[in-house]
Amino acid sequence: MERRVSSLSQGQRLLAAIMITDAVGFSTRMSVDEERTLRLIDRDLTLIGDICREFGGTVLKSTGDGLLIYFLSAVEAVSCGLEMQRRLIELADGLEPEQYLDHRIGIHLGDILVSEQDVMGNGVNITARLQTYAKPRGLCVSRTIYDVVKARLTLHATFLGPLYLKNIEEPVPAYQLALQAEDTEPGPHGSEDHTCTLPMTTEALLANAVRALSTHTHSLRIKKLVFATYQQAWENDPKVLEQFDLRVLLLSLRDRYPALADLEVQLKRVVVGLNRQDIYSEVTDAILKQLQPWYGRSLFQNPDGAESGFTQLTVRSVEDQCQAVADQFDHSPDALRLRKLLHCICYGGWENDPSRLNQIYLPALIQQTLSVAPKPQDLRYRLGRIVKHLNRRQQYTRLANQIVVGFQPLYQSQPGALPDATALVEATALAESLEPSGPSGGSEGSYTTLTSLAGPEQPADLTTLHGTLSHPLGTGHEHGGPRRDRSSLFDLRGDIIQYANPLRAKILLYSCLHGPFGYTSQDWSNLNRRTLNDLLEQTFEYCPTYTDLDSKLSIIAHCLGRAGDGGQVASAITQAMRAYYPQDPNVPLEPLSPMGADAPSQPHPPAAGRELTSLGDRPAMVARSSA
Amino acid sequence: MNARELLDAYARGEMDFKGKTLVGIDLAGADLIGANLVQADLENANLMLAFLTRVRFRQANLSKARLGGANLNQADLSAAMLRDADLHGASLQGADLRSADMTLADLLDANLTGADLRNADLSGANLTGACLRGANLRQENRKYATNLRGAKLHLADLRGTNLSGADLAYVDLSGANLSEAVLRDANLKGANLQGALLRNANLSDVDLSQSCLESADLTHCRLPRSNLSGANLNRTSAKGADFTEAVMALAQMDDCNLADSRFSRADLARVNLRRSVLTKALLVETYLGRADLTDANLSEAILERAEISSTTLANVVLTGATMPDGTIHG
Repeated sequence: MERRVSSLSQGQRLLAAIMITDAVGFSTRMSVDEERTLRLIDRDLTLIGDICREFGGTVLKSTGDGLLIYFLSAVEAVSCGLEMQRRLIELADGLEPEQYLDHRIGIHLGDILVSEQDVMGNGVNITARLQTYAKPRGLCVSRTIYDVVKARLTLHATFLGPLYLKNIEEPVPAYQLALQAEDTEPGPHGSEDHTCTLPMTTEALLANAVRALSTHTHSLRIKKLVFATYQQAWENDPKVLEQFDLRVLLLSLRDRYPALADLEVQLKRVVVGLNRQDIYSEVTDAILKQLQPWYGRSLFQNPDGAESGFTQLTVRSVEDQCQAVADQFDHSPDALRLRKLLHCICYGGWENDPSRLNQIYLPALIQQTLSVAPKPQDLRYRLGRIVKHLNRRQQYTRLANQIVVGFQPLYQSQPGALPDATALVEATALAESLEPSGPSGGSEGSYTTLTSLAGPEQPADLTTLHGTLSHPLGTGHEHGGPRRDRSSLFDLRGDIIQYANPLRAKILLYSCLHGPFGYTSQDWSNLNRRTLNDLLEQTFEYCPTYTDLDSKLSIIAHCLGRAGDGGQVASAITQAMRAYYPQDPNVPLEPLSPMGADAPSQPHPPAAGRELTSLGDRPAMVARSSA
Repeated sequence: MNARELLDAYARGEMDFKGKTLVGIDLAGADLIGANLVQADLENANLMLAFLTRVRFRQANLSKARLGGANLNQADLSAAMLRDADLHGASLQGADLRSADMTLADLLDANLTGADLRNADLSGANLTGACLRGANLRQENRKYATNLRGAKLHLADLRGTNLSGADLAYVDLSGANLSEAVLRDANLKGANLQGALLRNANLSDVDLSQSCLESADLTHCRLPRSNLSGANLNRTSAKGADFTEAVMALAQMDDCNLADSRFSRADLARVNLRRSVLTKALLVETYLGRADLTDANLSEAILERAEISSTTLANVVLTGATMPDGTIHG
């Protein structure tokens, strides 16, 4: 242990699990009773330091009311954090609140850099910010940590979604960890969720339903089906699904389909397009059974008249805001590309013709985007799926982030309880406002179907629209398309080295197979003996499914950090390897047209993709299939 | 000039480091995009994972330099000395490597897509797994040819490359992909092409004597007038391949798929073709003296004027075949 510290003090970098503790309300307590608070913090920090050493951690410095600690194991770090809270709570047991201090703990995996006087590094900053998201007596850990430890420890975790931390560029997905299971579940009176302004009893019924559905044996399938009905796109990746809260999805669905019978129709419509109809019929029944009590109650207590007046008001202000955002986008040097992305969200196809793009009235397009993606996470999800299939991914990722940031004020202004109710009205209003300026004839269907969201009388139109929407985003194309043969990997290698440095790709794959590359001469000689071809073959063996590959590579890329240029390399590799993985039998949700329902296993006609191929920014998938 | 001075100067906007002596300099991971290092002496320099796109290294000395993972896309390395350099996993897309001396260089898994390698010396270089698609290795005249003698090209991606007249004698091309490649007049004597992919490749007039093509894929490969004497072609898949006028004496061709292939006027003296499939093959005027065709399938093959009087034909299927005298076998 001592050796590690001394080697660190020479200004070296070290990848470690970083922990920061913090006493809740320390300054306030100091101002009230300085002497006692100092005595308490001294006692607590000594205890924390002792426990940390028991778990093999190393205290780097004290912040006055907390400690900065690092561990060489994520599992140790999390077990230690839980043990700290347990012992601290024991100490406080039965005492008056002014006789003890509560602590928050944040943990993240990252590089630490020890300079002469101080400890630095982006990882330390992130940990410090994460700590503020922990509940008193709880932990907040980044997803990187959570993914590493979840298999080894029994945790009571609540996913917080990607957190936008101050001064940290990229969002950090994180989890809250609690000692007891009760802490994580929203109790019937749980009013911590600020977006919830619904009457308590209705909320309690929903909470019951959510709890029953998420502990159901088919909980993942339930989530998939609910998500598919909501987003009109099939998603199998548990990581993506994780980012959507079942409760929020159900609330949005109820907004769209106010009666249980409507919901039933929609669920069944999705199920007929699936290959495992029997299982999913069961799943449908389970969902309907659990939701019945909740649908029995009215959602809103205010009379209808008041509600519509209220939403009408929002529409107007939303229009103004859309105008502001549109101005901001139009002044961006990438104005045209931003339009392309928004156009793709709203209409599905990739439009490259500048004259047609510039004809579009941007504020209306933005408003339409809002109705397609009523929540920030919807927007992020849709942008993510589009960007994934573009060849200039890096550039468009930056632009997608620009859009997310630009849309923030729009989402913030939406009244929390009624986001989707307003979205419907917006869509209707938008349909009218767009009619004269929009391209004539054929596209009319999309407007009418947007309004039909409100009622079930035109369900066919609705699904057709979303079918085309999800189409270029990959569901059908990707999974219906031919799989590649693993016996010859020349094409795969070519695809990888076109977008990633060959050596970095090898280092990443090697790290995935044999543990993080340490740049030692031993590591180098091992790497020199393996070809990229060997490493790819071994990776196929090591990662039996695509999901497995995706998560393993992104975790190891995270561990290698900046030095490995991991993120971009990992995505280039996963993107290229995807076509070599067998089609998931659970996947094919064809575009939900009436035709699709009849023949769900038919691959997509290539024509839809071909119209995209002739132009510059074409989706990578299409490019490959034509090669 | 040391690394710090050089990087500071570059940060100030200086680009010209022409002819500087930078022996053994450590610039690992450095960003020197577009710098002028013409005629610089960088022997033994460490440039691992450095960003060197469009850097001008013309006539620079990079012998024994460490350039692993370096990004050298569109760099000018013409007439540079890269003898024994480490270019493992380097990216050299579209780089100018004309007349570069890359003797014994390590180019394992390097990306040489579209690189210009005319007159480059790659003798003894390790190009295992390297990608040379669209690279230019064309021989302009006798004195201006890419030298690949003794190079390792195992698993290399050479699809569509022009290797006409290249000297590839005794080169290891096992598992390499040469589909659509042009190798006219190339010297592949004694080369190892085991398991190589040669679909639609052009190997006319090539010397492949004593080479090993075992289990190679020669589907629709063109080999007219090539010399395959003593070559090992066992278990090749050569459907529709063209061996017209090839010299194949003593070649091993057991268990091959040679359906629809053409052997007109070829010399197949003492060739082993046991258990091979030759359905609908064209064998007009082919010389099959003492060839062994035991258990071969020659149904619907055309053997007009072929010399088969001393051929071993035990258990051969000749259904519908046109025999040397013009009759159809019953």
